[in-house]
Amino acid sequence: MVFLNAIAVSLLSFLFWPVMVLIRSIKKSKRPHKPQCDKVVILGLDGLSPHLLEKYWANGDLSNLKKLAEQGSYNRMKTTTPGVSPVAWSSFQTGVNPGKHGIFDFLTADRKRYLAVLSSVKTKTLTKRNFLGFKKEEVSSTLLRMSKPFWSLLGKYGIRSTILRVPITYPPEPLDGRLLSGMCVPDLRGSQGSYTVLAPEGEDARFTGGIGSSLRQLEKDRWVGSISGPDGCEPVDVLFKQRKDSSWEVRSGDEKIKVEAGKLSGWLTVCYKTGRTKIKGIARFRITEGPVVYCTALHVDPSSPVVPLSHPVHYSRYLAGAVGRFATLGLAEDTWALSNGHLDEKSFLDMAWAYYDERRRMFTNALTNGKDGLTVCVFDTSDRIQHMFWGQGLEPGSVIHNMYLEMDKLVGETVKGMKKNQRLIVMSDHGFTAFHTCIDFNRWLVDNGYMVLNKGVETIDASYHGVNWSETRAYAMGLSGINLNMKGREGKGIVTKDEADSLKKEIREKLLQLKDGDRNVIRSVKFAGDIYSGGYTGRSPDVIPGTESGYRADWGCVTGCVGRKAIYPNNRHWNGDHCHDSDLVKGVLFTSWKHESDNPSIMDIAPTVLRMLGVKPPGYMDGRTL
Amino acid sequence: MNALFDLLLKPFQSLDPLWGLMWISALSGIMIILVFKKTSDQQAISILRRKMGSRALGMLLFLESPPTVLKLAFGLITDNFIYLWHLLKPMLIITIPFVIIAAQLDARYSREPLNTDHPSTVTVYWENSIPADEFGEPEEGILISPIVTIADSLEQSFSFTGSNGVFVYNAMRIKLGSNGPSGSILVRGAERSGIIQALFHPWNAEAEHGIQKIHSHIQATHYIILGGRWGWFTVFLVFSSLWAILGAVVFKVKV
Repeated sequence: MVFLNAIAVSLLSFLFWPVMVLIRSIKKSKRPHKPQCDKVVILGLDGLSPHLLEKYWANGDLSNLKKLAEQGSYNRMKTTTPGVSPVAWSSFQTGVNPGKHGIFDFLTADRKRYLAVLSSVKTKTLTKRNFLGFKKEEVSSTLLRMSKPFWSLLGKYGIRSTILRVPITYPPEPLDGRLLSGMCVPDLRGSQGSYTVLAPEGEDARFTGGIGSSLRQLEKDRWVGSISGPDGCEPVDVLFKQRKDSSWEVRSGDEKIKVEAGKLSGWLTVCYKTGRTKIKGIARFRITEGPVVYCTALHVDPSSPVVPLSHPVHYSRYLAGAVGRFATLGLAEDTWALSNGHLDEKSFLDMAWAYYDERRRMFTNALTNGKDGLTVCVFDTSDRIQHMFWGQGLEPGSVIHNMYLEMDKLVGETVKGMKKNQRLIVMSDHGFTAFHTCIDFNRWLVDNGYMVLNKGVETIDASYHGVNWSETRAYAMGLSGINLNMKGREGKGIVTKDEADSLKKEIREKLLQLKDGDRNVIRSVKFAGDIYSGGYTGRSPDVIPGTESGYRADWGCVTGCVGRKAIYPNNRHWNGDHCHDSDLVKGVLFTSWKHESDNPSIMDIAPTVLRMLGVKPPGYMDGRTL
Repeated sequence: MNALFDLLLKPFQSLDPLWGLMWISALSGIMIILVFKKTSDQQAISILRRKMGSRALGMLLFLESPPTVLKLAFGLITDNFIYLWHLLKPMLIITIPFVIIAAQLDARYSREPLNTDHPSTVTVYWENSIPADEFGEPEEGILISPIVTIADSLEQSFSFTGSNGVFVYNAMRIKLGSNGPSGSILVRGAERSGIIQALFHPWNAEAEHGIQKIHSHIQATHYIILGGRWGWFTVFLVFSSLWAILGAVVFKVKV
């Protein structure tokens, strides 16, 4: 049967091929310009820093990137303000400034309720009726990134694209080609990644980034633990059996995997049921003495996705079969588990490199399965490793140095696979610097009289509970934004339009004077109206402080907490960052051809690729053709 | 084995033979799927199935590129052979119980119990050549006569007919003339209206000296299902397969 199917589809392909070629040729002939190449490959290395690249070049490392720079071009690339992935990658794919695509941070303010919500996706539960009239609840997600990605414009001219894990592509939008969503894909619990820790004395409790659960002993060498899944589903029992060679067998349902003690396992399916519907997730495990079991976030199973992960829907199924099961969660590398001590550094690195390998196989698959069009693949490994290991040094032999060597190897392999008349762009969305000191902007606003807390309230643990809004003029939310409590815009706003300008200027002046000892903390303070243009500028925070290298908004003020100190040391494992003044965290841009521009911007990629493939960049794009 | 099957079929003695056949088919289907689960590499099959599904999807995804489709088709065919390789070990193991079950079912359900006036034939193969003039009618066994064919001097066929609803004929004598060798055939049968109570052993018929082997040609039986005439093997295959599929779903077996 399989044999016959294979032959039938092959024959169909050959039969339809001339028709499809004809249709595509007609579409392509409508291109206003002559294409400069057949195919463009964009290799995105999230967070690759020009400072480190140049430093390692000076040591004679990264020969592949050096060669690419010599044969083509290399530039430090201007990123967005702020230089964070959701904003920068949105500008990359649309060619416009944040005021036109509407993404200004990871989080955005629900101004009526003073709540921090995810900036790129809105999720609703809809009640629908099926054809028999029975009610059915459906979770519907909407992508909040506005404007159009440039690959949708290519599709109009019959140019197919393969887009892999570009941030802010969830839920996947239709395109002529194939797309696998990246950053913001939720886990099975609907969160952006919550892991589970199971221990014999564990208690069922939630903590930042994860959930605790208890492990029950069945026999001397057998344990069982429950892993909670999506809302409305019963937790699933997972069995852990210690083998004679001290490794473990982990079993869920009928599937089992072997886990070496202390090492990260492969993927195991964890299946939940709600009514007659099965919801399948995949997870990896690590078992240490105790036993204490770490279980990654429940990634949506790409072979049987409960939410759309790709366009077309079966592309994720195809990839799962072609390259093996893979991490689907937007932020797959579990940085919280490392910060909380539930993963050691080696296991975290094992995880990061395992996901890198998955991505590399996908990328190779995409490169080999199409000789024309556009292929884009973004690797997150470089970003996550720099976030978590910056503090351990950057010298040769360090984790970060090794990561750069690996990225260089990837570039070398990609260049090797490029054919004549194909062009390569290697880029990062932003650079990196240290993050040694936290700034609690909300505390600073309280200390300076812009935010007023209710009587008796000294600190706030969550979502501004305890803020006296009737006297508060400004509040900080997200990684890089201060909002004015505007009358008519905010739920309990008090600042009038007439007062806004002077208030912003006053905040700017005071922020620029903020010192940590004798060091400046704030490098620049920008106003949304000055740096953004477009219909969605109003969604932006009003004041955007750009911190000096080493300083970043603290963890609590991002979601509406107020701590005791405005400036305090960052003791977390997360000690590298890029949420600073955007001039400090420029990205990199390599092209396999020479171009004239000496100050390229991330917004320039979209119009450049369009022009290269013979399509006229639309007038609304802010980027220039390189 | 006979005793085991007799025991398994005991509750169905008074029912139509089809029920017994379906019962054994169901048991066989479930047993075969459980043996398959135990003896096959379920994880490898699962991965391979995913891979094969992926290649099929890939052929649709890359329909615009015949070289890619060809590559995927070739991969699919290769995977198919790997899949067959994965099936080999469990299939070889399953063959053993399958042959035993098939032999039992063939013995019990393949032949029509003789009806009254329902003719059948017994062929006797003699050890030594019998002179043609010595062929004659047996002295005993009222139903064995006359000789219907004489292929050569070593082979004789007799026609016999059931009577009175029963065709248990013990020690039917076959005798050839006064000086010829003689033998006896033990034909055990079943009641016309009920389930076969004892096995036919036409290939094991007790033979006295002089007889090399005996074949009895009893009419094959058919079962009426959905208006069609089904042989026992078809019934067994269809029903055991259905139960095997059901078993695969219930016991989550990757096939």
